[in-house]
Amino acid sequence: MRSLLTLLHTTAFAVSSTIMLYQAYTHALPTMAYYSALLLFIAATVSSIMFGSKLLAGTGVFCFYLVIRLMFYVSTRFLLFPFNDPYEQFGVLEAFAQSSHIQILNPTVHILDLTGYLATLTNQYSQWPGLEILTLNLANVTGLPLLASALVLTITLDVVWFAVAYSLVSKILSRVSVNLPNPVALCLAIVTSLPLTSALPTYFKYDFPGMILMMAGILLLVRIYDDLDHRVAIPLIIISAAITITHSITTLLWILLLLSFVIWNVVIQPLAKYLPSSLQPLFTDRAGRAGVKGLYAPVTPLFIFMLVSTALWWTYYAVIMKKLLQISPIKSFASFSLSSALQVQRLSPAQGLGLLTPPWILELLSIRDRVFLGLLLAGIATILLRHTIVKRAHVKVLLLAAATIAPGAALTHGLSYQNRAFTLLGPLIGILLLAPLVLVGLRHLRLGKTMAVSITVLLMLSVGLGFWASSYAPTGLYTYGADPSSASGRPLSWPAVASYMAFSGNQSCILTNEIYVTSLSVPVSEWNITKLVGVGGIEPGCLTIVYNGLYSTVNANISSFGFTEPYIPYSGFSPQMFYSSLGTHSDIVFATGEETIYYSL
Amino acid sequence: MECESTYLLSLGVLFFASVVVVPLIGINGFAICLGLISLSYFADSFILHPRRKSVVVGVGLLALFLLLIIAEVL
Repeated sequence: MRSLLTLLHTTAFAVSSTIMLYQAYTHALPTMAYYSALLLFIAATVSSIMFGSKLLAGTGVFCFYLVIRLMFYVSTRFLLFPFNDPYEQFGVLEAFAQSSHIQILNPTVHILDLTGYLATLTNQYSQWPGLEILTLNLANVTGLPLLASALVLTITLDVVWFAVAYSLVSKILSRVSVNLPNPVALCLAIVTSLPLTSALPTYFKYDFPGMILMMAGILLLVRIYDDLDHRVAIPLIIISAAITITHSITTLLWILLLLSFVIWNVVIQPLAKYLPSSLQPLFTDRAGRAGVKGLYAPVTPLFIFMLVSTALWWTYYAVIMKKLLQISPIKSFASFSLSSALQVQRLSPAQGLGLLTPPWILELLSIRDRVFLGLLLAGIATILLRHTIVKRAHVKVLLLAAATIAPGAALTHGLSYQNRAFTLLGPLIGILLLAPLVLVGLRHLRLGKTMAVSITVLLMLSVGLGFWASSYAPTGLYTYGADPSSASGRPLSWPAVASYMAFSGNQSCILTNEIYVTSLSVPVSEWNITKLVGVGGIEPGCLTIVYNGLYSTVNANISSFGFTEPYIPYSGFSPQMFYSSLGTHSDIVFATGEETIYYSL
Repeated sequence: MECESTYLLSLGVLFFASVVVVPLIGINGFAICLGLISLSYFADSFILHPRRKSVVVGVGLLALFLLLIIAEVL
């Protein structure tokens, strides 16, 4: 019976995955086939969590996680990487490969084009070469071309992210009183279906390996506190150094997280006896309350190590940070905010944008966001008020630090980067989301299970439908009236885009998931193509471009490294100007059967 | 070997490397050298976590390093 159950579930996973990926690749099946496959996948995954073994449940969640992300890759024929950061970082990779030397690139050297467009940014990206070092090593070992290596590495990092997240959640939940079935798989099913961990496909970007390194660092830190295993101190130092050379903002976040542990160790624990007795269990373990000292390796030296290594790197190598911090330290801090995830003020879809994404899906996503926010707040309250659920003080410190840092950053209303923060803190926040379900389950097991199933189905359904309906795009970005500062920190005017879409007369064209939301889609037939770079041909359907005047880093902001304002996309938009710009310079990036993506340089 | 002895020995090796070897491979500058010494000190303290270690040395190294960095940035 058990083996039959396993066979049925794995068959359902395989069939659903195949249909969804086939549909993403060919678009040949009716949409209903995709919806049916999605429903089957969700039913099988939730059923495996409730009734299956740990391995079966984990396999189901992992398959769903991977299929959603692979849909973007199988439907795209890459000639280069699209969108800002990956495009620039690939330029850095090519430069490193050509010179066989990791160095700060000279801003006057143009790597991929002769327009000067990439120069300064390439220079900036070369100052955190961790991702390029990884990719070059992969290319050398496997013999793959650079682009293929970069694609393989990106997908590999997806798999590694899941593995590290699984280990971290598993480690933390092993010391938490949970009576729900397969809590680790359940937590990851919630986390990987949340907005911001799932909406954007992962790209060839330096913050992604940074996130994984930091999650591995958190895992080792928990191991030191949980198991008193000091052997992991050396890998922890190596990971910390690797974070420093891989990504700036992840470095800041890692420092903040370590700071919370330092404050707990140095300030809160010694003074805990002066706190009210009701608060003492929140910050001290039983051993600490009994006055036992010296159990933990203090993280203060690690914290100072990170400070010193970061200061050294930023002062003598990543010199751009000096200027960036002088321009806007608040924005640097806020770029790992969760402002989008915490934003519940969604307006109803209005003219124009409603054509891009069906209103019922927008409603579904709106409900999903509210459920997420409510569950997050309930989770924080549960951790604070119910000390018996999470017993270990360092886990509470970790969870509360995650629950404080991200919303705190969001309140600054600065630059927000959508997926970065949540992918970083996702597993920790996933445990916060699980906490209220655990609490309910402790009182009424059946009710707890029902709630867990309902929420998991809602989240998985919304990510599956939202992904497809917006065609590889984070639908939340396209919600009319959404606060644009939560998307990229830059003002946007969606009605102008919508007007243009109506003007073009082809409503089947979509907006792409360009991270800075500055691209437009127009029918190929309406574009007078005069110049192409690359080997891609013209495909029927839509094409998407980044409009020259809308692109932040092309204009005068380049002198300030792309972070200063004013930046007013779509202001004074006119089709004549649009076509004029398109006709002169363009650079193909990738093409699919339905759309061809270009950069306007 | 006792933890304290290992700590002192590794610290000595790392300090030596910072002062002598690093300039040999083309990296110069007092601040960089001091930064590497500080990194060695704090990494070693975290890895070996000796019971007896001088807090004054750590604070002094950090203060001096920060002063040099601030001077460099400003």
